[in-house]
Amino acid sequence: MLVIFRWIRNQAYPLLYVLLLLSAVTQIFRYHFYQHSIYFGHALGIHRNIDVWRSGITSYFKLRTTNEQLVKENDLLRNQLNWNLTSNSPKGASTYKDTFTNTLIKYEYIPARVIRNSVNEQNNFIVLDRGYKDGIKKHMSVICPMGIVGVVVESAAHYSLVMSVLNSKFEITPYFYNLKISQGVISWDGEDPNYVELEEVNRFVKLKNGMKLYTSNYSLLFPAGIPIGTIAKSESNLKSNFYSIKVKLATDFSQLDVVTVIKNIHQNELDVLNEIIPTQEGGAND
Amino acid sequence: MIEVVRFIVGGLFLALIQTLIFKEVNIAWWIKPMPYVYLFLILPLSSNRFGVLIGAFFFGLTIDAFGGSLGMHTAACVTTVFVKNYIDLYFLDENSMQLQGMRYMQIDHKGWQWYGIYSFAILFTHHLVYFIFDYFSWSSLFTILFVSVCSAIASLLFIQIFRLLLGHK
Repeated sequence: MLVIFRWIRNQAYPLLYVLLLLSAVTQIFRYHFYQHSIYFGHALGIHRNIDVWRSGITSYFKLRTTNEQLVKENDLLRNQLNWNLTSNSPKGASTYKDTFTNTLIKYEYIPARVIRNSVNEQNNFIVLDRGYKDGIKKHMSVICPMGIVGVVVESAAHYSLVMSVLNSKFEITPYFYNLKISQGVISWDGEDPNYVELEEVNRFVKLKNGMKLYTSNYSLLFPAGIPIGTIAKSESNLKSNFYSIKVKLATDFSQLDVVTVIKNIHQNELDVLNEIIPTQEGGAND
Repeated sequence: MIEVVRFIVGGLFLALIQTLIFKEVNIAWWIKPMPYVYLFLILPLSSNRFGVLIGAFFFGLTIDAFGGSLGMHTAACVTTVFVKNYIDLYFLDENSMQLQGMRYMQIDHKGWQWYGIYSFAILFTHHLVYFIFDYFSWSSLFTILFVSVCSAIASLLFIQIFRLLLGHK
């Protein structure tokens, strides 16, 4: 403290000068419109730049929370979509009422985070940080904001194992949005993790590159209307009645982080019915 | 005490001349003489520098109040007096001057050339600060320097006229 006082005493003359100059400069900026506008224009500019810079940093740290909030919001909005609403329910069947919209719904959404993922294997699996204690069960479908992800094949207490779309055992029938038809089977050939094969599409169907594919309402696991991908390349030859189609996946599996597990309210009933249908060897998922 | 009163009266006189004549007379856009800086040139060598600094503040404030240019002349005056200490150290040998019996800066000490350069340095400092705040733009930097130099020369000429009229050495 003594050092500070001694310094002030020694520097009294320059300090007095600075004080008087500041007083004069304050008057200039206060009473002269031109100088005032330039000074405050610059000051505001600097302040705005600092704000942008600070906002960039804080928003970066808030990304995780924001992401989780968006997933919750998406789930809420999904509950309000037509395909998730059921106007009536068979007598005695289990029903679920959304507390926000007060409507009967078919699906519940459980947000989860990917803690393990692979895209380079022939049969890729994903591990989620939620398990049966969070309501996740076998045969539940998994989606992300980009599109479909896979199907739950096992669930432990706190973790679940998901069969990825990038798995040779995974199959799904797409819905051609432009043609309003559901046809063919999508599966992964084990090569490029960005592309899957679409087979068994009749070669008389008029296909175009760029056509969008969604999950169809024939799916017992996925709700209808979830993006699968777009047609990247289609070939037909006279020897076969079917196209050979390459589909660019909507989901970038290398960027998976937050996903949503979809619980069909009536899944138990569907499972019972599904068991009656003779299944193909290899365990088709759709 | 009488000397202080003389300086106050002289300062008021110079402030009036500045605001009534030099502020109103438009010689050229690049010549804006402010010969009132003469007051700082004739300050006694042994003046209390704190007193001079505060005096310069109020002197500038008076000119600003008369001329409606609040803050500009004040900033220029305060800075001039502050910088004048260093200019004095560079140009003047105060001990030798006091031995010669000089209490004020006089041309006789080292001649016209020396006096001209010394006065110009102080005038230029004052005018530069004034025009920096007047133009207040980086893009006008060269204009500020040009106007400061021209106006300082003009002020110096007017100061010489004062000296001749008042009979100052």
